Amino acid sequence: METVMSYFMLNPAFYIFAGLAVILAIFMITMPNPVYSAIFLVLTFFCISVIYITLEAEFIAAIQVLVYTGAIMVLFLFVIMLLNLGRDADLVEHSGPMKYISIIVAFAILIQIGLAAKVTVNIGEKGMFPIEKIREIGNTEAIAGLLFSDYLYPFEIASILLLLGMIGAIIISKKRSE
Amino acid sequence: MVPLSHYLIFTAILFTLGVIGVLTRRNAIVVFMSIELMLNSVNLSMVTFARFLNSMDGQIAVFLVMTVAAAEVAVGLALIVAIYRKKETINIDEMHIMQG
Amino acid sequence: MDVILGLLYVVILFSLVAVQVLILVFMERKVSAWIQSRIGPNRVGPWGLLQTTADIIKLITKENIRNIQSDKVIFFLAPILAFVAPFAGFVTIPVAENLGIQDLNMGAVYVFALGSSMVFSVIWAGYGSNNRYALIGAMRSAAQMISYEIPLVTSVLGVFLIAGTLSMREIVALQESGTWYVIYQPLGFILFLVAATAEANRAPFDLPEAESELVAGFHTEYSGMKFAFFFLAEYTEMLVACSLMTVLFLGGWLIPFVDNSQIPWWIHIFVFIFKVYSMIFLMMWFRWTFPRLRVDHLMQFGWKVLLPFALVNLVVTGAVALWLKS
Repeated sequence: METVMSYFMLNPAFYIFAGLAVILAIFMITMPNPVYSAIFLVLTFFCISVIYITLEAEFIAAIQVLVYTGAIMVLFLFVIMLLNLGRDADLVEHSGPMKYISIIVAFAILIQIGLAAKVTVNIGEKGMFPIEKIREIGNTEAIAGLLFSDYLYPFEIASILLLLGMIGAIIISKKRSE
Repeated sequence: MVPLSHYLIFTAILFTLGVIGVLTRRNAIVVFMSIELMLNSVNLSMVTFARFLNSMDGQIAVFLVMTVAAAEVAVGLALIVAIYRKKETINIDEMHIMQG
Repeated sequence: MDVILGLLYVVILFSLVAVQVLILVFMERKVSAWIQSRIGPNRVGPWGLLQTTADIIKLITKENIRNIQSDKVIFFLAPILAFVAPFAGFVTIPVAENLGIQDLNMGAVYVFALGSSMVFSVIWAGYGSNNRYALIGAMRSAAQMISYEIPLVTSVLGVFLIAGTLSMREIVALQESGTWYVIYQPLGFILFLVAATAEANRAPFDLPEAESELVAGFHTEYSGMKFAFFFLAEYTEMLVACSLMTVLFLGGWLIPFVDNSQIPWWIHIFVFIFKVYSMIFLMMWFRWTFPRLRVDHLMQFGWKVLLPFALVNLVVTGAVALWLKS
């Protein structure tokens, strides 16, 4: 108990928002109404963005809000409203043994990941960006420097992928006038 | 500093919740949202490793994952809209034309 | 200790913003009256100065009406988020040298991130009210805000390219010698102004609440205190947008052609406020000058006019910056 409290006092923001994120994620997967699911997912993403800040990845935190909540979740809500799924009660959910088997499988995965996390803690050699250096040059500058030098090709490929996604989405969702 | 294992346990729990969502829900939109949750938990673990290994590459990877996620959501939602137009439902149990 | 200090900042900021909004609403009425050759409010207090205060008291004391079929939680959350998102944007905006709550390393991205989460409040309001007009208004607004977000962000990228930083304070400091970024980026400034007007849902882009077609758009069902929050949110959003314009394009608190280190800080504050209010006056002027756009024209204008111009602006700025550097 002592150690738990001392860890909590060390960085309360992480524990508070991690707990909150887990609770909100549970709400998200249990809500029957997809609109509520979307709202809880938005709140979960906000919590995750705070946790990025505790890891001193400010740029990723801002991008998380900008991309995930500002673009992706708005798209989700947009589609839910477009198809009028909000008050959809006719969707019969699984019940009975299948559901419990799924949950057991999921917990097996959790235990597996947990064991892996325990084994691999703190191995590997340290990289070139200790936190003091990142603070000095700035998080955004550090990401930009790498992105436009070492990772230039992945960056370009990602932009082409976005363009393809845009074109594909338009073609797929367009009403065919036959 | 919070120990690495706490971050990893947190991401594992989020990932598991995403898996439960995918396996138990029948609503295609909610399944899709659960996949987003899983992607997010993986992103978080990548940033955590980047921070603890004094590296920047994890954050770049997250940046790229986000662009891929954005493209994926655009196409996936377009598919859901197209399926809804055709079948009038987004229950994924009803989507079994390919089952032979 | 940090928590108490943070709460203190929030309270101070809230009271400052609330007072600003009171002044802005009064100003809006007087400006529109002036443009239309009317007198405007003139009964309550000297020159009608207390009219908005009276209105706020009326809104607070009014009964809170809620449609019985509306979605309780979402209906309640929407106006809160509508106000909180632009309000939190003030955190990074520097009013004078060393006067601003927190200068973030990526301050500009932070403000845009908050701006993008504004869309939710409108969608939630539309969905929560369970009213057709509200839902149509919300859908229009979601489409509009996503579409105009892209030219909004693209048009300021030129400034970041020239400045080489995302920190608000550094961007202002770089404009020290009277070289405001509006001189380098005139096209970017105009695009930003137009897109910001659209983001704030102001006329001529006020389709989400077009009263002649949609009753009152997404806030049709709102009354009393909740409506007051939407009202507050709209003007807060205008304040943030105009403060951003001042910081990014108009040199923030700096006075051109003068040695600014000699000038006391309180004059800097007045300069900043003067610039912000000039931009707000411009936005109010727009409202009575341009007719409201039709909904398909609005989307076409965003995607086929603003975005291409913003992209051209960005490419040209990048090319010139590269050429000057080499």
